[in-house]
Amino acid sequence: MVEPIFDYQFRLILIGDSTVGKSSLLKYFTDGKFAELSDPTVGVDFFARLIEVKDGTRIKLQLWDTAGQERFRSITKSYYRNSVGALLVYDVCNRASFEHIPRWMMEARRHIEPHRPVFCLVGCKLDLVANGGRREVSKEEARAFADQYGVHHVETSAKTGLNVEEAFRTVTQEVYNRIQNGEYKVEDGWDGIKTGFARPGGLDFNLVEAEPAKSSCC
Amino acid sequence: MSTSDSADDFDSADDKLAGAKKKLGSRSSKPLNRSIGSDSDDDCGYRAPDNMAYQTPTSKHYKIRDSPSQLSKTGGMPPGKTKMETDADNNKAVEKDTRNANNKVDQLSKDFKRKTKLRNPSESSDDMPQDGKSPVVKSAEKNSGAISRSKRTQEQRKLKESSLGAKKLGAKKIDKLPEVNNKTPNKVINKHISNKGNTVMSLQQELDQCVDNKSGQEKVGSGRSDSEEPAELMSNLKFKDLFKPDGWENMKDNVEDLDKLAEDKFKPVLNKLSSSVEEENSNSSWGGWGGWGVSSLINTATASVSSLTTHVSQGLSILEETIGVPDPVKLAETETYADDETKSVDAIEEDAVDKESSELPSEETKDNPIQYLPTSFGFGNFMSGVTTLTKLVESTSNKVIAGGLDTLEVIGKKTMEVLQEGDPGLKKKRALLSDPNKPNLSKILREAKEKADVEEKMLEEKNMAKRVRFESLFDDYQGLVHLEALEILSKECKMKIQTHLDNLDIDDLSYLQGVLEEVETLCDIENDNYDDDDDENKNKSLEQKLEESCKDLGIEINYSKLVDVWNDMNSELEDEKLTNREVFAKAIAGLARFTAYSVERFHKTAELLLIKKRRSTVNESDSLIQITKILSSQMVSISNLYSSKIDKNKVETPKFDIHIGLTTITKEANNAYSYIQEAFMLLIPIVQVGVL
Repeated sequence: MVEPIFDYQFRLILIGDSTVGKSSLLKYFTDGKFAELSDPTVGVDFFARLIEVKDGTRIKLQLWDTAGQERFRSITKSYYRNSVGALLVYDVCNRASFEHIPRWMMEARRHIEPHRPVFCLVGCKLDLVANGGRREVSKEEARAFADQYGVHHVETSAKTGLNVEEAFRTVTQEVYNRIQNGEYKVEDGWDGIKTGFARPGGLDFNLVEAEPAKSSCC
Repeated sequence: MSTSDSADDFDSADDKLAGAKKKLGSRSSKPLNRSIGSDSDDDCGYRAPDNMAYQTPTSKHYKIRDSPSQLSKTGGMPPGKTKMETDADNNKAVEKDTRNANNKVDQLSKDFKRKTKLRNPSESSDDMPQDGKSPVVKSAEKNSGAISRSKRTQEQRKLKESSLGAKKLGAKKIDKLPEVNNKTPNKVINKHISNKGNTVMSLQQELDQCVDNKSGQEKVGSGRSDSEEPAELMSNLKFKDLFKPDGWENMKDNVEDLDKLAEDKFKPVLNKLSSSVEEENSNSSWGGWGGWGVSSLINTATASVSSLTTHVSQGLSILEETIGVPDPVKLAETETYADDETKSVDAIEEDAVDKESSELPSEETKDNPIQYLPTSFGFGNFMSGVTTLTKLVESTSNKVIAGGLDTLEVIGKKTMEVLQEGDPGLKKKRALLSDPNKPNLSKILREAKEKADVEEKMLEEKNMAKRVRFESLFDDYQGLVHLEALEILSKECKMKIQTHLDNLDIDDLSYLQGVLEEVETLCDIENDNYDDDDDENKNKSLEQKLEESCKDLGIEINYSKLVDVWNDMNSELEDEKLTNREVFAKAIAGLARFTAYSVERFHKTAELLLIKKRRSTVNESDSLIQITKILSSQMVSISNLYSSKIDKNKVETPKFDIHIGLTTITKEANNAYSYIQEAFMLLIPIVQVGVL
């Protein structure tokens, strides 16, 4: 559960091949836990977490965890549009997952247009490398790719938690910076960025705050 | 009297290591006695025109100087070591407090130093009869070089060990205390101290003069010799011990010995030191020191100290001005005089003093410090405490090296810097010090508790509001976003259907439209003739009903999640102690959770249907209708479950209106019902798209 007190809501989407670790990454980020086994994601799942950017502004991250399986591709592309940020996730021990990144990226670009999302290239399962697993994507290569496209890059491990926070924090801060410099703004009909306290039925937080007297007592 | 008071002050100052506040408090408690006691402070000196009054201050000056001098030595051994230590410690919070205390002491000592410079030359010549003895002292000094050296080494080691200036100061003071006592025999202030010959005083004055007039190196040397004398005493004693009234009395016994030491060893040492540094180096007894290049060491120490001194004075002046402390003003005014004196000393020190004086220009205009004393009382206990401390310090020291004093100042300055971190202008700390109505600890704690209580209450209310707000909870359970995602899929399906229709010729179009309408009819819950009220269905559990309904969907999905929620609700309500307010909150939360999970299942169902290979529109629509009906009726069950619990609840719930509670539950159950219906409506295009 997420406290309703936040200044902005950013919608971030995680895309990448199946089994690269998108859901595990999110589970660690929102729950601090890691599960060795998890069912493949059906369509899209949702996570949420509150995070603070450097100036203390509170951001609610609404995280869309898409299914990587090919059979869901036609569905998941429907979910891109309202995202302000996209995490391009690959497995450092899975060469193919890295080689598919450009496709994921192009797809996200295409569906999020005319908006230009913040991308972050996220390598997962770094713990496998530390435990003798064979790394198939070098850090330098990934970094070079990221530099080429002007996106952030970070290698993570949802098992140890290494850099998980940083991956999301980087994207969040970048989105926030773009709001600050005017590149992004809250728009009707686009849910990538929303201001806080928006509740169904037009309730804002103040109303909620005043509620107890009305609903729960006397 | 006055002495003991001041001793207490030092005591408190020592305690202050644990906290600046505390120090202030203790000081404030012992303010007025001092004035009466008329310690050898400036005030006293001015008040009492007789020689004695002047002498007392002088002796105090000497003492103060001693301790600094030792510090400077420590700094000298590895040049500037004291400073380095201070820097290293800057980051440690605990030591900040200590420094705070040190800083005050340093400030005082600095002021004294200024005074000393100012007065010693002039006063000693005018008022003090001991002037004639200075030659004797010098000669005596020459003879005791060796002894002093070994002791000095010990001292230095000690100083090294304790990074805190306060400790060092305390240790030294112990050493010199006896001296002070000896030297200030006739003075009113030091009544309880045994009387010692004027010779001692004269010796001290002599030393002081030497300090003022000679090069920095010489001063250092003399300071060493002084401090060495009582090396045995110095050993483990602390500030507190030294200044305890008891301690004073005990000191008496040692005084004579000390005097002897002073005359026998001290003078020679001083003399020797006063002679050139080269002599010392050549002297075999100084062998260990030869390699050091004493003079250079001393110079280094002095330089570093003086540079820091400037900063300290800035910080102090800020503090003084802001607090409006009269005493510091008084002291500052003496700086002007001090300037003149300083010039004869060494250039570095002179610069530092100049800066100090320039920073406090307005203060120079005041001639008579005594005028400020009354006002200081007005200011409060704090000031009087400070004055007491000042006087005591002043009276205690006679032999000091300027460089050592500067080292103390350095420490003080560093302390100021630390103190001002995150507290520009010391506003917060000043507020603490200057507020006469400063709340005591219990008051602060009480206020803190009240504040915490209020915050807790607010938080509770906020959480309560959140808890009973269906929409908020529905969102927290991701119901809203699943509904949104389902809506996205539904819209896409609609668009896909429309695009498909646009590309059909008329015949195909009419046919397809007919099929789509048929599906829509199938999905019309109102017209559904399926009777779920028959006996067979009534006896089935939620789980059984949902399982059966899912079969015809043709996809791998189950709604067991909802069964779990329902079971949780029932088990939760078995708690007999629940108040109605709690039951109410659980009702709303349960409805929100059940609804959110329902929407989530619908969303998943839609996704899986969309990727299903072979669609069977009729089965799907029929199945979805059954599921929707089951879920919708479950909302009624949930509402009834909680309502009956509230109705039968025997636990008193103050300020809880049962009727409003029940009405709200019913309302939210209806709300949940409409969410389910809405979600189902979004599923229709998804079923329809299957016929394309």
